[in-house]
Amino acid sequence: MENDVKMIRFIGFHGTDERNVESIQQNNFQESTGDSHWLGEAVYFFTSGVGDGVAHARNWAKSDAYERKYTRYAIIKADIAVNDDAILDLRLSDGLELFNLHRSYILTQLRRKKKEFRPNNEKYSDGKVIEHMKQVAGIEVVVGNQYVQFGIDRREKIFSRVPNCTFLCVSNPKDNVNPAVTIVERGNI
Amino acid sequence: MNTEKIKKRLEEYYRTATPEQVVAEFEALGVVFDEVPQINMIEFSLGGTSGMVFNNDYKTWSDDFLVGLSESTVGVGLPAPPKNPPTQPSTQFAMAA
Repeated sequence: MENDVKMIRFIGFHGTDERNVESIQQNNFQESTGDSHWLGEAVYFFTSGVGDGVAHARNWAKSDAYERKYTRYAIIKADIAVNDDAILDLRLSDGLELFNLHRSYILTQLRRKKKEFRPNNEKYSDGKVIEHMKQVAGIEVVVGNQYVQFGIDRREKIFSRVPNCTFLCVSNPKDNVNPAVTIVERGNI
Repeated sequence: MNTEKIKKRLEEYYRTATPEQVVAEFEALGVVFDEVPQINMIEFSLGGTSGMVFNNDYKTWSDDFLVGLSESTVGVGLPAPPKNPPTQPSTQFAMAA
């Protein structure tokens, strides 16, 4: 029955340029868009799980500052609430199996039409499969353990397959993120 | 996570969607696809060894590995590839679905 949905709550931490705080407080978060986002177009938060969400948000903000050229960061704490039938939880084997089921289905259908992801330019990305799952299965939040290159890893060009953080990817922030956010930390880069 | 509900939605989609629809939906997400090249596969049987010819490359199975036939494989009991490819009709074969 459609009425047996449960509301699931998460606490997310978002590290960003301090100059973005006012806009976020007034207008809520904006989804990050483009091809390079790991698990699709969404607002990305660090949360409890692998390591500490606040520490990861701080590390991320400081790492990002070198590319985006800002000198002060802020960590914003947000309450996220979403129905349990709109969550893809990649920390769980069920979630991984659903993702892999859908990916296999997609690749099979593409082969039937003799299509393949362009190897050099538009490479295959998990983000595109997740974007498609959002459309066909009503997914709005993806939770996952991932490896993220923080400061020293970026400088040393280290890449690992062992997750070092847990994050939330939240679509439709206006529906899913409480606009009454809290600034938990500010500082210099 | 409500696995059953999400799985039900996906299965409903798999039941009704066509390959053309899937391609169009991914293209609407900004994905640009390449065409898969056609591969000609011909089966052959040679000196007790059977296998496949992919684009004039002779390959046979040996201990679960796909081995290419060449002059060097003659020493391990496999035949040398013939100079001319087999003449039976080719089988148009797209990579495994």
